[in-house]
Amino acid sequence: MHRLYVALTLIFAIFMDSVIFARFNILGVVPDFVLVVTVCVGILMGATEAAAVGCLTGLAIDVLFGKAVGVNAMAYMLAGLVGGIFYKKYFADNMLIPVATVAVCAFFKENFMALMTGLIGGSFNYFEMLATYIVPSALMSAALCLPVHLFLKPRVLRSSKKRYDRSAGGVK
Amino acid sequence: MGGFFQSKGFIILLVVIAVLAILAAVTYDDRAEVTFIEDVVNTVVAPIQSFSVKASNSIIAFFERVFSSTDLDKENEQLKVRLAQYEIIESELNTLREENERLKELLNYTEVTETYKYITATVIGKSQGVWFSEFTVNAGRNDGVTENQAVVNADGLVGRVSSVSANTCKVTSIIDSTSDVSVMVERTRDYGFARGILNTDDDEKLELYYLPSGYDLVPGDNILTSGIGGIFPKGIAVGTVTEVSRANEDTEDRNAIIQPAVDFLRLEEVMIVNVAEEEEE
Repeated sequence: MHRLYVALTLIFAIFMDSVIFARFNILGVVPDFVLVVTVCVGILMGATEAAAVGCLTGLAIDVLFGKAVGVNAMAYMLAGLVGGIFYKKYFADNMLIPVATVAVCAFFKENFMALMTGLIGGSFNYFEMLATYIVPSALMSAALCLPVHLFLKPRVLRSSKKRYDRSAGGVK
Repeated sequence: MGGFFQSKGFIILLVVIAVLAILAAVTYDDRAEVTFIEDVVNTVVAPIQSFSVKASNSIIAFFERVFSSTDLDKENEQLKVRLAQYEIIESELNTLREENERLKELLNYTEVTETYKYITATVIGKSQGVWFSEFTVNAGRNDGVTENQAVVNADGLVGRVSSVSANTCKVTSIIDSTSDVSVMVERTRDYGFARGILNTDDDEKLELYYLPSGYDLVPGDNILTSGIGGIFPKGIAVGTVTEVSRANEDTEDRNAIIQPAVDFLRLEEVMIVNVAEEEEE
């Protein structure tokens, strides 16, 4: 059941990123909703699942909206893996870990995108983009992490608990 | 930690990253046709995207109407004025076209007359973030769309088709930082290049480069496509000069900033310019 919640949240995130945030933003800065969900999946479900989720979602985004197939897939897969580092390694009530992880991942992802843009010939002032987009976008994604994590956490944990109870019952 | 770098998982990760990197290197350039898998994904998802975009646009339009201070009568008046302006422009265009034909005949100049057809499409998605300014529209190979066709709307030049699948295509807009458009200044007929600027302002802009030395340019000058390069038909509005800087011909400095004619933030419908083949008689 928790996989269904994750899938629905990801579809909603893709819609928000490609339709709503394309029209509404704060001073041109938008959060990366898909990255937020991928990192939360990593923290709640582990690195392997998050890497697979990130890679597949990134591929879908690349095919549907991207400049090159594989760029977002790579970025989201790595973000999922970083999120997975903290799987079962922190207290569930601690919100600092997911928020900080999303901020760091978003910062590196935007830098990765800047590198890709530079490699294919885009010209821009990096330090201006760092100040006006990369850092604000990472902070915005970190802020978005709070509601997303609070939405996903109880659903994923409840589902994990049910599975654990079932398996424990089976052992008896 | 050392164990991780020798584990099977780490090797799989490296292989996946290598495959994705190769995929990105192969697909970053413009493509006349996408792969079969991309075609299938686009075909399956396009109707859902179209529906969700139309639904969200309706909701956004509703709220904009509710919260907008502009009343409908005022908007109607503005549209009437614009229509009148277009009628004047059309009349001038017809005069110029006739004059052009006469001059061509005088020069004994023969050429195949290109007639343009337009494929109307709706924007169904935009690239994430600010790094690339690409969007997806719901017209593709089945509608006659091919790579490098120009994309316009009622206000002017939007971009060009960069990759095509069966029912959708991706359009690289002129404000993309990797996009170059050959342009000319309407008043002086000087040629140059317009390039997108990567910034986070809502107010997207273009930079004008490579005007001949001693160029005469003032804010308010209209910039049109030059027709050089064969992608964009000549004479499509690109934008208006808002800021002029004095740059030498041999430097990489920009000559001016251009405000695009198209409002990219509110782009919903576009027209793809289809150069129709000469009909066989």
